[in-house]
Amino acid sequence: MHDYTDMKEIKLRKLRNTNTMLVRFDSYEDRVAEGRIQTLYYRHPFEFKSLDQLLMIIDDVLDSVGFEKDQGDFHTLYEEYEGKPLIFQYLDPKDIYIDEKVSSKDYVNAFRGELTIRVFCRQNSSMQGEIRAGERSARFRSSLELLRMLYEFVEQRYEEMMRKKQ
Amino acid sequence: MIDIMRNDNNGEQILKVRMFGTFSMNYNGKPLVMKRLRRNNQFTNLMQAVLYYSEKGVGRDWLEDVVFEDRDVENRHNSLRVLIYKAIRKLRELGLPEGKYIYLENGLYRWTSEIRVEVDALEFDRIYQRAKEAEDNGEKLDLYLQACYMYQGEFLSDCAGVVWIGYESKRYRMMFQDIVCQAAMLLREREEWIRLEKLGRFAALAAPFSDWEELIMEAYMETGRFDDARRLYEETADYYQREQGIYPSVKMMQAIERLGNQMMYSYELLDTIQKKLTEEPDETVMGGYYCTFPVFQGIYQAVTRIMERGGQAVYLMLCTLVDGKGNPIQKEERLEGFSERLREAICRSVRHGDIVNQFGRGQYLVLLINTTRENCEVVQERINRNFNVGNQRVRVRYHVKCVECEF
Repeated sequence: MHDYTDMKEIKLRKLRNTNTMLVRFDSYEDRVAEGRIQTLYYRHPFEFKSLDQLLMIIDDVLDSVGFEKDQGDFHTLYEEYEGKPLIFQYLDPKDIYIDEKVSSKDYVNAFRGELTIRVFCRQNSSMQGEIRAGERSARFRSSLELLRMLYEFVEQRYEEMMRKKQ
Repeated sequence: MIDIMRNDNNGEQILKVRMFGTFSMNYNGKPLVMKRLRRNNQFTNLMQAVLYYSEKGVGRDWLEDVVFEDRDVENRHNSLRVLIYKAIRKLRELGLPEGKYIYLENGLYRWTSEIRVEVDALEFDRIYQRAKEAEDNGEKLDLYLQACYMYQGEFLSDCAGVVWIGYESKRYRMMFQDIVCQAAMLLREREEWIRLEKLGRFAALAAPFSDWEELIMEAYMETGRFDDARRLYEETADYYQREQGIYPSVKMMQAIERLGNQMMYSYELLDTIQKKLTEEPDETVMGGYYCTFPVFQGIYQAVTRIMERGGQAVYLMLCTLVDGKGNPIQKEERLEGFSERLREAICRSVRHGDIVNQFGRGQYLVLLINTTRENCEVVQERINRNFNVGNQRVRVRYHVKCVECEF
């Protein structure tokens, strides 16, 4: 029989934590996707003006809440940007959901996402997770793969919109 | 799959609501199915919120936010009232008995007490709380497992774009995680490995990419199914890499390490292999290592490789039985007896680490390791002494060649 003292510690630790973010698009003019992203950590959604901004916001939000990341930061072009958030728009302490608010279910707002992005982990200087749009879902292995799927989604919606207009 | 939609014992009619996985309602054993019911319509949004909070009720403004979202709706209070009126009519058409199911009281919308509602997620929560408070470990385990197997999917998984659903979904995920951890710990204490394996399998399916394969692995290792454990590890690593581009292996290997005899299976495997490789001690066998030609050939090749680094001198010696005139012995019956005697003589005359092989009917090959040409002659004399008996005319003829490293 083994000594399970250490094993208990492993089992009680948080396993792979996941984070869900809700995304909705407000415009796709000139094929530039704009919209808002609502995280479960902040009361208000963040606005994005392009899909690359959306990815940066996701990464910055995850950094801000200490979401697990691979050892070693990104390589940087300029030293002064090392470990700094690039896009994160503001960090108002009042905007953060505290545990009490969550347990008293004081977290509703009228935001509804058209799709959800769930990040499972951040390995290989990238992101891995799952994207879900209605009944469809797909897993992404990198930020680039996620970016492609986001374009697929807005393109699909754009084509649908054009068909309706005709 | 547990059927949580069954009727209770009193025959009371209950509206059973499934919120783990896809939203569905079932009354009196019949599913309430609507034509053209979209996942994301106002009726569904309303029913999900009202039924989920049926015990405490939901605030009017809160409900309006959930139902109308950020759409520009004129007179939201009135619009909500109209929506509720239509919802009641729809529910009646679907088979609910007459009644005003949803009503407003002190600013809260409530579900009627005339139709009892059972929501799987709330039941899951209740069982989880009972499990946490239970003092008896057996009862605790039963409750944890009961709750665990109720988690048939993410909370309202196809409506995850709504904020309140997102939060509740996360809360249930955390609860499920704790339940699996606690149940696994209790099963581990009781050494119930088959149930632990079942738990791991369920958890890995219900919450993919959460490293729950660790539990299956643990069960395999504890029951000595090391090959299965190795296969599971390979399959899991492959699956994680293919689907998510991530490595579960580190966490899984860490878990195995902490189990004590980490990689016990591979050590045991190696132990078995080593036992097979080890020569059985036999006190009656003395001197050189006697082996077949393929083994001799393999040793010869290996020794020439080792020489590349070690630099020791190795000699190959051929010993041939000859008659008094120096010709090889032809007669079978004579050859057999002399051949056996020569084998014994050679083995007794060489060192423990030298290799001996019967090359032909009256011929032996000897690989003399780490020696000199002079010592080869000493060995030949020793063989002669051990082989020659009385005035026998049969002798041994020797040919010696230095083994050279060709690499």
